[in-house]
Amino acid sequence: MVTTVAISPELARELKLLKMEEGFASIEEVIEKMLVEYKKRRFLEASEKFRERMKEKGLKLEDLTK
Amino acid sequence: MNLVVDTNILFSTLYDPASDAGKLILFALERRVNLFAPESVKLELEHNLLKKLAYAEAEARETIAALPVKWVESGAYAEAMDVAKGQLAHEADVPVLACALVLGYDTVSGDKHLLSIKPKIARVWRLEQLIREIQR
Repeated sequence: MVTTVAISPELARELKLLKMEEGFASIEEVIEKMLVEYKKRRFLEASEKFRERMKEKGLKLEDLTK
Repeated sequence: MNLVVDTNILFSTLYDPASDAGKLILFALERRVNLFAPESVKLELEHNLLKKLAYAEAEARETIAALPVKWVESGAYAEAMDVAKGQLAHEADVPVLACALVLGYDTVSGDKHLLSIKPKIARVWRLEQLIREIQR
């Protein structure tokens, strides 16, 4: 099943260009890849903050898991 | 592959994304595996972030949202809690096993209590063993 998403013509052009440049089979594949990359970045940012906070608090991993 | 994870795995992945736990999360972000965890794990994560690491509530929410885990409400695995209690002495692990039993999924853990579960009850993977299996 598919659905329609309204985006500006300019963004649609950019997505098509990216699809061709990167060799994706479809716009859907482009968007999926972008979502995965976005989520990876969000996770890595969360991880960085977590490590910083542990360092600030002088805690080890075992202090959180016991 | 569908897997139930415990709190230790999630803290380990946040601590070191290059570790095996981190690899598992990256596989989930790439939709190569689906991760599930009981609500109790989410509450434990939240409690530790707020109380031990002094996160603001919004920061804790963002951190938990960054984990590619589907949270399973306690009502969904309540029926298996007694069976799980009979298998585990360590109370914090009981919802993890109950969740796995109800969903019919394997569990991945570094916890000695969960790893001691008999295979005929539930399959519990060691992290390194699971990563090797996924990468095969």
